[in-house]
Amino acid sequence: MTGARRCAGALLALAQLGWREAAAEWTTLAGRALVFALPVAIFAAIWDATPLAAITLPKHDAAHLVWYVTITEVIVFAMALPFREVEAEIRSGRIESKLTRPVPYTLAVFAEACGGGLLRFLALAAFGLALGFALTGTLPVHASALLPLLLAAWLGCVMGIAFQLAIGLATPWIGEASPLFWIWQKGLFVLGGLLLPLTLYPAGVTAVAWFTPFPAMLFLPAGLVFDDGAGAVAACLAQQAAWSAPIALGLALIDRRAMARFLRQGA
Amino acid sequence: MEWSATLRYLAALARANLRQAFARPGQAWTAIVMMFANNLLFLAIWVFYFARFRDLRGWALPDVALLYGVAAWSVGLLVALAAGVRDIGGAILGGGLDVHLGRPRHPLPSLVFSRSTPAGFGDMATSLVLWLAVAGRSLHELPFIIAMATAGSVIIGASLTIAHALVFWWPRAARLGEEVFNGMIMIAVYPQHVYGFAVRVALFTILPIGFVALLPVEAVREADPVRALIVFAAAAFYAALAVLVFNRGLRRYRSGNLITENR
Repeated sequence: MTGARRCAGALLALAQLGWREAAAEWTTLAGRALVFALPVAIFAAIWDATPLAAITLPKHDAAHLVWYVTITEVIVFAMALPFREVEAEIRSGRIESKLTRPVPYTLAVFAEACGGGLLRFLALAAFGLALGFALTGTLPVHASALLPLLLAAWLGCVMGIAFQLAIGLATPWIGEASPLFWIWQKGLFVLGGLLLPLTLYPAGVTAVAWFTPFPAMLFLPAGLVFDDGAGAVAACLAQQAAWSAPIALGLALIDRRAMARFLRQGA
Repeated sequence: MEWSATLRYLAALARANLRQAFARPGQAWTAIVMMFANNLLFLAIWVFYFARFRDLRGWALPDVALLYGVAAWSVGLLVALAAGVRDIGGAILGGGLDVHLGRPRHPLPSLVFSRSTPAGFGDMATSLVLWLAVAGRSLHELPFIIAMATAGSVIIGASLTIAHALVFWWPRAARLGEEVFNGMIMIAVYPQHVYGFAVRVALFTILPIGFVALLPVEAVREADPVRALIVFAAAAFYAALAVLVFNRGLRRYRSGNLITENR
């Protein structure tokens, strides 16, 4: 068995471990589902009270806007807060024992976070589908576009997990990762279009948002509710793939610097 | 005399926590500035909303800014002075409550005032900016608004205490407190006047966010002393309820009851 295959096998096992851990914490998942339902229900009421007749954009009615928020919230709630685990391991020094393992630390944490994230994603997607249907009486997209929508939303979630790991690995330099996370998170919320689609933003802000990776994580997948044609799906997946490369590169760079620092002076 | 002694005790606990929180001033100030920026960024969503729509059933940006400021002050004050309220469940499960039971006073104040989170001051600073610069409120209105928001802080703290105290009966509810905290924040920062009757009833009973955000904001907007009195009465009621639930649960507490958790 080659080293790469052994590493892949270990990462798969770690992803399964993350899945099982998330499944074992079903009470937390149930609580998360209830909290997830809050903003969806809140925005269902807000969109219901909003004078949407003034909007001339296609499919920007209350039902589609509720579906939009449901999808962005599934992505955000499924990725959870993996940066906290990295931060805690660095601050407590526990990371040092994990650096001796044959699988690179960041890859191992990424695999575990993705395993847990996938379980949460599927559970919240199913719950969100039921909730959205109950609130709107419609489906988010045409049945044939459901799978591409799920894939795009999951990719957005994975990109968020990678971003968060980079934030967690910055702990040795900034002492506490949470403040940096808040700013990143609000960047995601605002420039990614968590609650309002970018199509409703002022033009200048939308233009700025497109220079960031945030729309690829939230607006593009959730925006499929406004246009679920093959062209829109392809454009969404292509942009996500294009942004995944620099995100992975950034994570690899910060990982290299962090690991070099740990080996040089400890956590 | 008893009241003044209690207040002196609480003030001493808060001072000790603040000294500890600012032991690393660089980190503390970074957290404060980041939280301030974080709040302003979040408000940007409403700026964009009102750039597109004229109003939300009678509310405009200044009203949302007033609401956001009240919610931010309520949460900020709580975590700046009494972040220990978020650790109650963990202390019960881990046996950490023993430390507080060994003291000559009721364990709840020392438990609640056992930790300070500097980021809370960032929330409070945001509130002042939002009230004065965005909501268009005047300086002489500030004491009233602060009193309303502080009552909201008491209600959030009491709700969290109740949620965490459930661990006395149900050890698996350890994370429920944090979910309640997140849920309360999430609801508090959005306009609640658009909800239907059933949701409003829930907001004034099960998860009493209506007393934290909607009612204080309406009291300030209408300069309504009756609504203000209701908010203060709700704060007193939920604080008393929290002490009652905690005391009932305390009777079930067994030192170092990790065994209960793992059973």
